[in-house]
Amino acid sequence: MALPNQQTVEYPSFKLVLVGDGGTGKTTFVKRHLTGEFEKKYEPTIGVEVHPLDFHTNCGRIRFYCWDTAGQEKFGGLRDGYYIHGQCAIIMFDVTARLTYKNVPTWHRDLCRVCENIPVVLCGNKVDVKNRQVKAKMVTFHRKKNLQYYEISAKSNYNFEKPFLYLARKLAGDPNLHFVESPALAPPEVQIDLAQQQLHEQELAAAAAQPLPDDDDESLD
Amino acid sequence: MELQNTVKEALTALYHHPDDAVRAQADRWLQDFQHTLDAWQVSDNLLHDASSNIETLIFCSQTLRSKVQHDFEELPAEAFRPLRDSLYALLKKFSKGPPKVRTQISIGIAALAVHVSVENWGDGGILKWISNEMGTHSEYIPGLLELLIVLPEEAYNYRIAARPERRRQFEEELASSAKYALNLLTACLNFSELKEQVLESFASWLRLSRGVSASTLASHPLVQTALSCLNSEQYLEAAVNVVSELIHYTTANGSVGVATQMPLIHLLVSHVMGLKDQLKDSSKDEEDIKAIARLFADMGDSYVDLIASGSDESMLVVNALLEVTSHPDYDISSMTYNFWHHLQLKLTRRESYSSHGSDAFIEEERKKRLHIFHLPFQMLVSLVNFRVEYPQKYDDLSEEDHKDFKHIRYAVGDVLVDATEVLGGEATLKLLYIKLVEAVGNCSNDENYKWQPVESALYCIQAISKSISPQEMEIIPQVMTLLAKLPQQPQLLQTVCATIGAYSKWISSAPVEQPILPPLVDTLTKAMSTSEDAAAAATLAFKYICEDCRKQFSGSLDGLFHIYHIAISGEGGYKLQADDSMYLVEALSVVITELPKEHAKAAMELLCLPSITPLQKMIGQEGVTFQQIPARQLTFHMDRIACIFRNVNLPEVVADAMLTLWPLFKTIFDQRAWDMRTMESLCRACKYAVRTSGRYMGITIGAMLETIQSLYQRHNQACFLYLSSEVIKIFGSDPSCASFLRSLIAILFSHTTKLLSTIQDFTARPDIADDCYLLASRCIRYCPDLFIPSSVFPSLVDCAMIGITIQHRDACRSILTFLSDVLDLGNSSNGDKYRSITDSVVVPRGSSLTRILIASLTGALPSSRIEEVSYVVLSLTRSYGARVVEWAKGIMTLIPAAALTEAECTRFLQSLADAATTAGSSSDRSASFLNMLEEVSEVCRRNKTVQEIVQGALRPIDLHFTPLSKDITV
Repeated sequence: MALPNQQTVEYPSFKLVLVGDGGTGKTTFVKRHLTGEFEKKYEPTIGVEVHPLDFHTNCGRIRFYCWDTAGQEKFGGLRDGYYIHGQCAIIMFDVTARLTYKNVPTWHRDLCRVCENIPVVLCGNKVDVKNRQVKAKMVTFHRKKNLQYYEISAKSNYNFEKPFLYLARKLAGDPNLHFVESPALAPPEVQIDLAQQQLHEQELAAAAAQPLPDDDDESLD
Repeated sequence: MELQNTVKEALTALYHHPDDAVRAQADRWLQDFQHTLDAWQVSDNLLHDASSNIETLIFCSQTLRSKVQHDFEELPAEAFRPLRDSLYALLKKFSKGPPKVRTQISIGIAALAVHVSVENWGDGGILKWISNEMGTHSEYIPGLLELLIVLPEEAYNYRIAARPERRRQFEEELASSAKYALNLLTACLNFSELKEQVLESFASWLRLSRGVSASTLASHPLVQTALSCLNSEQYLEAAVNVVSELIHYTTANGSVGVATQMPLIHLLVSHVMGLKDQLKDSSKDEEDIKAIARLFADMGDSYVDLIASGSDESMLVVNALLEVTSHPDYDISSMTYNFWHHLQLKLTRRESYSSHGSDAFIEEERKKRLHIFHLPFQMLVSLVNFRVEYPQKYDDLSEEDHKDFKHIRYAVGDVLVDATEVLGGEATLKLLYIKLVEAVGNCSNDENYKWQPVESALYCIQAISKSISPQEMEIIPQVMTLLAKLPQQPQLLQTVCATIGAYSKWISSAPVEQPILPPLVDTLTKAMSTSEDAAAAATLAFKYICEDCRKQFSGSLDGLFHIYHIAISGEGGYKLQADDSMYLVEALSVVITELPKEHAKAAMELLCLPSITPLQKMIGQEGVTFQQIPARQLTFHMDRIACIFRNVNLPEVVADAMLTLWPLFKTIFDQRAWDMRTMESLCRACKYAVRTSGRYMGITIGAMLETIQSLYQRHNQACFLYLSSEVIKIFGSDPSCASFLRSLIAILFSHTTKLLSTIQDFTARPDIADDCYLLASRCIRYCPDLFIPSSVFPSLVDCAMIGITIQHRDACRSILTFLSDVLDLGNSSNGDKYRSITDSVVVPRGSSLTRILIASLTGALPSSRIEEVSYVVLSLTRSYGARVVEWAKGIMTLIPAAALTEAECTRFLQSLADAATTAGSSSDRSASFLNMLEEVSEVCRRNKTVQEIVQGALRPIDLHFTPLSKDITV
């Protein structure tokens, strides 16, 4: 369900609720689709931000209105106040922080209490990071109904279309639906270079926010 | 009334306004509104107002629920009854819907029940009320049933602002009335339209049904209903949830109660087994198939101990799980992979057989079991290996699908390794080899060569390489001979290379009379020009065989260098990516390690040359241009040098190389010190030089350290600290380095403490904070004699106190680790000599430090950091015992009773005192102490108001640089 006044689009649109603990990469994930940028500097989302994301399928164009909700503070935002009219959802956790996976059932239950029987994708983010705490085998929560699991990496773009494809198929009731081109807003040639440049600068800035990787350092004791 | 309208308007704006700014404003207003006292009444009014639309109703029901969950204590005691009655009334009002509003009201009532004990609830408690209402007003049953669903769920809801103690009590209250609740649910079975809800509620009560015996459940009408619903399309999901909970119920008490659970287990297993045929029913909905598969997987996972007995019945279950494994859909098949892994562990580990007495009996029983499970695991091998076969239209698939395929292959590889544990490596190999021979035999040599089955069989063989003895003489020799003869199809060649790499240990121990290596090296060389993936696999294989066959290779170094130079030069048609060429560098490095010193030195120069020449060229340019070269062009070469320094394990040779390279490095240091990327890469190269050459570093180490300590003061690069950390580790305990290291430490740390003088500084440069405290911890470990008496030590402790509340995960951990290292030092085996210094630093700061730690525990840091903070508190208590209690006493009085009651404060101080008097205490005691800290933390974070009160009282951020000798005044 879109914001009616904003729905100048002629094609089907769906409200997607994006939830999960703070710092799991929800905002990075949706922003990735918008601009191809990757933000490493962590600024927690306060409340909610709505991003329209378009995809081209073999059955025409569709739009997801992504409600990117605050996960960080225990008492921040309206939480399930944003879920109303949600038609599909993504629950995000961080494979490098066990607690964020432990909280998945709570997010799922809160979601189901407001949005019944909607398709949900569980995303394990940050699979590019070396020191992974939640191994793929430990993830069993998605055995539940209407729940699909994908490992993703917002940083390296890994599997970033998959969650949307699954949801689109479920919403359209067509298991053979597929995307016919890369997501909308693919920037023209020059901008790609710009984005590349930005990415490079951001990586530089971000490196400041990260300790120097040390793959083989023994523990300190 | 006005407020009610504003709520409605804000909601319309939030949900429908096109303008982001307007929506954000509405969002903000509604968030603030939810925190007001008015929100209680306004929500209640709007819920009773017939003109409220669905959005308003849902939002107000959520608001009222949130208020009950978080802010119940802001109401006066006498407000409870009217609130309870109003919620009752609302539940009745919305009994027929809208269901979502009804759900939220139910959760609100359940939250209220979490806060208020049965005795204070009145009228015999909430279940009594539900029962009465059900008996007298059947029209309210849907709403009451909803309440019965959420009550047990809310027992585990940690968002409710109840004390841990009260939560435990609530769980007990519910558990003791589970039987009663099940009776109510049974009565509801008479309303067939409510069946799904009844099952849902039953599932949620099962988690609290420890007081209901398994034999009662086995004949319970609710269980009967659930089991019969397994065969209905309409109720399948609800029934699956119940049966899944029942399975967990039967294993919840460990293996102790298995005997009493058996009748129920038999009942469940036989019904689940009855669903087997549906797995293959292609007319069934895919979600239903998934639900059924989940039951099989749950059954396997939960009863793996019983299944491992190998009884006739358990073999039926095993066969059924094999069918799930064989399901064409990978998502369904893979649900069983955990089961096979755990079954394998159960069967192969000796601990599983400890009840069988003597070693001989254990071995006998183990053999017997492995024999029983031989056939199923053979089946397993044949059922999974088709999944690794490349699909015909692989090239048409997306990049992401290619990665998925890769992941499936890894998962199948793991299953095969599990199989080798049960079947034995060689037996598994035989099975896979038959497949390989078949596949090769089916291929004609013409255009239509069907390489996929060959590739997949080979893939499986390489996946189990670790389970194959290097002495295997029957099959691997044949495989190796075959490898060189296979056609050069890119994916096949890639797997051929992977196989060569995987069996490097076998190759290294192959008999000398058979020259096995040369044809394999030829194959690898061919692969370098075939495809990027094949080239990557080939270089990796080179690395492995060089590691394992370094002696064989040391004679043919020229050939390797030839390959290396073609690869580096980019001429010669190799399809090698830069990252992958690093494996070749590693390969050559380990071979060089085997050479006599003089040869090694020459080879080393040869190896470094392709990286040094371009670096020298870049430096040779005009100064300005060198500054403008993108970092990547420099790091590319320096990373290679780092790789060489790391892998050529010859201290003198590496030290010599470092000496030769130093002028080059020095120039890069001086010219590019502003450039973080380049500095990180250069520091990494230096670090490996230090690590490998150790004391042979001689004069270069001095020059290097002089350079970084002077550059650090101008350019603040964290990697200089990181390089120093390695130096401390190698040279820290060397007395001849003492005076040099002392000044290094002094300069680096005193500059760092200037950089980090406020929490904002920490947040802006978490990398510096992290590396600074990692270095400090290293100093405590390797050169406490230099570090502890130094004048930077007290400033580092002050600085740490400023930075504790940094939100950056790693930086925060490093600071906390440093503090516990400081505190533990005095208690270590020869800590006495530092004790007087650490005391003189810690004691004057003790009160402030304690206060910051308590503030961190109670909300200044996210709850995922509690464990690390608690450990520092524990260390502090172990070192300063009674004094900590005194410090804490002063601090706890700052926290108002509204946040933490006097009794809670007393209990907290008492546990501190207990921990203090039992210094060097048992791990049991520490566990309960840490547990208590966690509970205090939870209480102080129970809602926004409380958390703000506590943080407002402790104000950890304001404590910085408070006069040390005086008590803090607020």
